[in-house]
Amino acid sequence: MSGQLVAAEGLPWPPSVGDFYPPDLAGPWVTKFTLMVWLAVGLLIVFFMATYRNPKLVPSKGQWMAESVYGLVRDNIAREQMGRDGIRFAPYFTVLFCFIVVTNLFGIVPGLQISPNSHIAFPIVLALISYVMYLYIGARKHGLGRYLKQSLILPGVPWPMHFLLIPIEFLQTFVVRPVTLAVRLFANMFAGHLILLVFTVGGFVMLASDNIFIQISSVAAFVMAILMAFFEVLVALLQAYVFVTLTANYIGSSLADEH
Amino acid sequence: MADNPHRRSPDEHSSEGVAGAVLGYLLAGIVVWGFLGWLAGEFLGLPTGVGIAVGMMLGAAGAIYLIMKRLSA
Amino acid sequence: MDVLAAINGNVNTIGYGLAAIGPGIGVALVFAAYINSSARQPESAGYNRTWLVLGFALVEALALFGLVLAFAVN
Repeated sequence: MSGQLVAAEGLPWPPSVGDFYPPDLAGPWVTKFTLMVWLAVGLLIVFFMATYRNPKLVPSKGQWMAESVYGLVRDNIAREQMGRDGIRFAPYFTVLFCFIVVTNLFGIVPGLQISPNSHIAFPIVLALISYVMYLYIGARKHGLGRYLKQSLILPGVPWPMHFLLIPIEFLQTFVVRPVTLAVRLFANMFAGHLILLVFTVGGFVMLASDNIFIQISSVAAFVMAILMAFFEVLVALLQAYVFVTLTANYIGSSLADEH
Repeated sequence: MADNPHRRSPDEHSSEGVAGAVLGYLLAGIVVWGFLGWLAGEFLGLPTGVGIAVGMMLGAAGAIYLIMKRLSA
Repeated sequence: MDVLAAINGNVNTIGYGLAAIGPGIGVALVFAAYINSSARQPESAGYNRTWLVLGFALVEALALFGLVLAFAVN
């Protein structure tokens, strides 16, 4: 049984972690991922420069697109999560949102086919920026000691409860938040790429078998692959939105006053 | 853009923030107290599993207490 | 005996998958009830929110017990 299915030689079946490492392009420092990140940065710079080079009161098509992305982030993320203070951070959130969307969408662009965010290094750096940012902003607003006290000690609690609560608060604020931020993005993109690999490569493996029925049923695998590619668009947008929303929420909570 | 009449006051928590915070607090509580319970069980020579079970219960209880105090005031 | 297919890994993974079914249904019920009640009576949304958070936390704790035990037990 399994002998028929693994008849296709040369196909990377089953998909494994090794498929996430395409060969280096030029030496160990230039990989497909570095090029993709540079491409994303370049695309964003060119897009925002071109659309805002000559702003008009009645916007052109490009200016309208750039403005609606900025408006979405400012109104639905920054102001929703942080109130009036959020407007200051809206440009950073917009760039972060666009960068994550573009790099996530690389996962389904023909020719690129893998998202840099499916390597945990990239989400870690993005989460680290948010982490340092909310710690620094909290410490600057309240002073280091008061910020720590405010985020670790729950007011109005009988004192023996603090033994139970302080470790939980510490782990939540300083460990769980950045780790979940990075891991959520990484895991979604990793799993998405793996799903696409399973259906497309699996379809070719079924096509290469010598049984006519298995060959016919490979159509189902290809249909699933196409559906999953559209599903990945949704996941890419949603994960970028969630990442930026949570970043805004964390910064907002370190700006908040004691209640 | 017209002002949304259901706009919340900024100090109220948003639903995405609440869901993330609930998960984070629970995970933190269960992990840290489960680990401390496991350590206590190892040192006191309790039967396997008792320390970690008690620790996880305690951590979940503390996390739920914290969530109710912090997020639903 | 002929080995036709082999799987390696840890059974705890399957255990966590099974343990997540119940809390998954529970979280769905909690949020469905909240959406239902606040759609029928929007002014009660703030009041129900407390119970939403409590119910979600109690249900989610079970799923996280499963997650931690999947790593802790071997």
